Amino acid sequence: MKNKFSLRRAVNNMNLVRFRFWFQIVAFLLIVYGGYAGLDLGNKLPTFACVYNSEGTGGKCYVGMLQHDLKHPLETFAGYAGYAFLISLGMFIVWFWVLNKGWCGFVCPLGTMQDWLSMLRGKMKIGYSEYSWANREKIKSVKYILLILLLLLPVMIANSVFGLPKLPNGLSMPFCDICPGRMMIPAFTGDFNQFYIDFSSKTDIVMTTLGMIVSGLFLVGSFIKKRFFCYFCPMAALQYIFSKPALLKLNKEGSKCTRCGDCYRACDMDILEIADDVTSKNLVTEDCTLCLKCVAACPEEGCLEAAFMGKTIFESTKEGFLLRMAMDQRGEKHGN
Amino acid sequence: MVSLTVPSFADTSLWLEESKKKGCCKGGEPESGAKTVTIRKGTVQENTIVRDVRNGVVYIRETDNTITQQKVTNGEVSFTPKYKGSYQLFFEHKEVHEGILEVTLSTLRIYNKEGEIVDSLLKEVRGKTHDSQYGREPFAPLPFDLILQRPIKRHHINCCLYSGDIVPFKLYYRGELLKNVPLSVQMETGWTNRIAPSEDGTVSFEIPRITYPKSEKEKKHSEKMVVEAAYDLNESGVYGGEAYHGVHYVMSMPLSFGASPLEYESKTLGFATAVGVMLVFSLGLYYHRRRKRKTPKEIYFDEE
Amino acid sequence: METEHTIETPHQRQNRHKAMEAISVLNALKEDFKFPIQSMGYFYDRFEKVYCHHEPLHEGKAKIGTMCIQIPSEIIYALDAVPIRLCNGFSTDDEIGSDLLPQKSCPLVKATVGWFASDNFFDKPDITFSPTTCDQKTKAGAIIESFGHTVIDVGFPRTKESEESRHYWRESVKSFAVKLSKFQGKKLTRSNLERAIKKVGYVQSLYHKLTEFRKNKAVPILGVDMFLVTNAFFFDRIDEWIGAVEKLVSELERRANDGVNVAGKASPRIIYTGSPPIFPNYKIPLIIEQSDAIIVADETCSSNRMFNDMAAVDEWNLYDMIDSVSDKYLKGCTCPIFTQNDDRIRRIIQLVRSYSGDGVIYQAFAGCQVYEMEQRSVLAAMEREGIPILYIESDYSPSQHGQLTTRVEAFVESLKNRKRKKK
Repeated sequence: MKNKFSLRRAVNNMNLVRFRFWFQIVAFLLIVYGGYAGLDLGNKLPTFACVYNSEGTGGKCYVGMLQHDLKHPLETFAGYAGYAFLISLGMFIVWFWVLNKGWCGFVCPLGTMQDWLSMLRGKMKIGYSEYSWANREKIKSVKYILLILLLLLPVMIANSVFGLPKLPNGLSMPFCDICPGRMMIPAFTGDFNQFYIDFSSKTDIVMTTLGMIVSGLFLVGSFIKKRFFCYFCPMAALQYIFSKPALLKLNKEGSKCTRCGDCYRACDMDILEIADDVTSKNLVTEDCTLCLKCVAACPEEGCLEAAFMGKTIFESTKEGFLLRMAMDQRGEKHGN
Repeated sequence: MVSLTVPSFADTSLWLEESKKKGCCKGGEPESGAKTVTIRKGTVQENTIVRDVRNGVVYIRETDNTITQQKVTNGEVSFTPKYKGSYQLFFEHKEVHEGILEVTLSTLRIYNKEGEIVDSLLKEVRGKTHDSQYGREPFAPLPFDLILQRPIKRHHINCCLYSGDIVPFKLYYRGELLKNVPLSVQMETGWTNRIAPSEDGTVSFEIPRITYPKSEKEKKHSEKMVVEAAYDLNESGVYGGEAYHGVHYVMSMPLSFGASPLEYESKTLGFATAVGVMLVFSLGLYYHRRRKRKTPKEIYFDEE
Repeated sequence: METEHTIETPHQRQNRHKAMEAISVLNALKEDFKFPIQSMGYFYDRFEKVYCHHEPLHEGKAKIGTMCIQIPSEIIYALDAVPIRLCNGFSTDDEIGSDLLPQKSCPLVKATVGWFASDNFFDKPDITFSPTTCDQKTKAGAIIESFGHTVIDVGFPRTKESEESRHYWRESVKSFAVKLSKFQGKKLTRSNLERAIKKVGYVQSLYHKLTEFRKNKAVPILGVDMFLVTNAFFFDRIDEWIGAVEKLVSELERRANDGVNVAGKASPRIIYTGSPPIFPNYKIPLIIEQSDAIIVADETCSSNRMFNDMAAVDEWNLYDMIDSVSDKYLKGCTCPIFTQNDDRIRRIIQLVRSYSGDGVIYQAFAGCQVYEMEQRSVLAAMEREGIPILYIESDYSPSQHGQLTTRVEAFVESLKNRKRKKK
């Protein structure tokens, strides 16, 4: 009993920033370079394991797979392809349920890159930008629009929807075309071949140019705004549809909350609910990346917790907070 | 009557080709999923199906590495792949001709896009992604093997071969790497060449880029080529009641490739766009911040 | 025989009165209760020195007067100055201030104004920052300024939910930092602010340690003693305060292990809320604890609210530290001056739950409009939650003592009955 207590205490006292930093590095190595070591987690991963990183990738992103699967005549979905589609989707959901949105906060290589850029900015002592709350509200819908487009366009290539003419084949992977992951992730294996503009057709010119523009925006944006791209990520939208029954949860005990806003300050995604919502228990909102920074920044005993299958694995404690903020001692720990 | 002759340079022996079912997908008739492979002979431009192959055997290596054997009948082999994934086919024909045992081999990779739901359920769940056609293991039932290695590319598409790619091959005899066997190549356009191996035994060449003058901007352009290697051995024995005093192996591999993406893409412009956007964005941010900054930071605050 | 008669100056007279006020409270604290705490001696001495002997503590240092808790002490410490909180509890000063402010004003504000009017300080602030919190404090700034003191207003929003408030307050704090930096001729830097934030964080952690003991069944420290400890932070030398509280914590640890209970077995556990008890105005807390009840927690700006919410910094750079400190003083604050006060009600309920309180005593200064106005909603909320609550109005005058005692004793008695029935 005592042992368990002290383990729990050690976990609650951990330096989450450091833990997450190393966890992300390991996950990044596995996802981006795992393929070289023969790692293959399948092609239904709920994270940006980029299919364009053909040799290195330790698995493949389901959003890419999904677009690919949808580019078939609708008739075929009545037979084998329909089952296969459902199985794929089911498999994606199963993967997703394990970590919930933790895939974004702990595994996603694109998210990790953004965190590195933020870290670099912090080292350079340049302040971060924030969206105004009004804009923050507005851009919430972008990811859903992207998701609908990436689902619809491949279908419209193979089928004539509402009697409209079929779309050109250049839109077969519409999101991959504009996803910065396609450029950035292979670049980490030394492959810069994804930086190009394709002049073979009008569609390709538009899509690949958009891709280049998004890459540029991604690099500068995530330098200046924490998790810049995640606000627009259609994977986040797709995940959120299935988020409710997931195993890993971020729970809040509203009665213990003083609404001091420390969690909101720590939140890379500027999620207001985390500080202001004192009635909901499940705080995994649509934009949450489950990075648990809010739990680490919460000074209230047991107010925020990360739970796996209903079991608390990491919760906010006063002691942990003080240790993480280096406020536990009288001035000795102020090295830097 | 027997038309199997020793292949000479610039004249390929036999190779396998997947026959495309014509008009299969128009009527909305469900596909049977069966694959038919024919044995072809001639030059890449002009060839015929060899109908009278005797003793011809096709080995089919399935996705799970099990091997099945089939006799060639009427110059054709049909099989129904169960799983989604790549199937490697090997054709073998042995015959003693003028005291020499002629072993004619050919290999072909077929990628099956469909599969039965029951059989492939597990595979579907798993989602096997590393199904590489490159650098496979030497095929045990055959003594001589020609293996395509991962091509070296200067563009972004990984799935297929394109002109301009450098394709390396390795040759094996009974699992041992052969270091001095040359390769002959024949293209659909008639270009032929003989490629000498490098020191480490890899035989590689760049797929010529000037073979499609009309199709510079057409992505769907596709062209065939056949790569072939021969290996002679001083061995004597008896095959099918006939004695021989030498063995002649020949193995072919048909490949197809597309027009290089480099013909219609610009990397410079790609980089320029990305960098341009970065510059504009960061300058915009900089000036926006400068305008917004109210506190005289330089005087009273110091980030140090 | 001739004796020399010196005529007492007004300052001397005021000081004599104040010393009398102070010593009577200190004596009550020292002598009226069982199991006195040894390490409280530091605080008794400190108050005696400052309020009875009028000894200055911060000679040679820049002293920054603050009119409310919202002026970030982290920034003051970072700029090598000392914050002196000017909230005043002396009836003597209240009387002086009464002539300068409307009759029905808050005694705390009157006392503060009276303090400046009499210009009788042990550590006189060199400059005073006044956050625009409640109406009376906001307006008091200008009155104090008219006595020839430098008072700088620091704009404080009265809603805390909106984005605009947050930005406004952040800008306010930045401009406060610039003004103080200019005043001190010293730059606010990453390292000095980081050090100050961590130091104040440590101070807060010590407070949290103290309060932990009050959750025990046997409460090892009196509520009035706690008020004294937190009040000392208004003016004390921070390092000495830290040392004294560290000692207090270890003594309380021993007492908790020994099961020392400063209250009786059946003493009702009280949560104290409302206008802040500021030394020596411990009238209500003393009555409560002399009536065989024990204050186990409070929700006032002279104690809990000052220490409860801690700053969380995400990036230890100046830009984030200043914002973080600003947010701490706005978002976590449960002051009744804000339009919405759900947070305060939730805090009280949470305190009752976690400190196993038996009842709430809500004290408002006569004239403290915001606390008076909130009384109804808090009472209604407590009724909903089934928590007994007593609402008391009082001021700094010693006159109502008897009446207040009767009311508190009756409430305590009813809580005891309730407890007995529960058993």
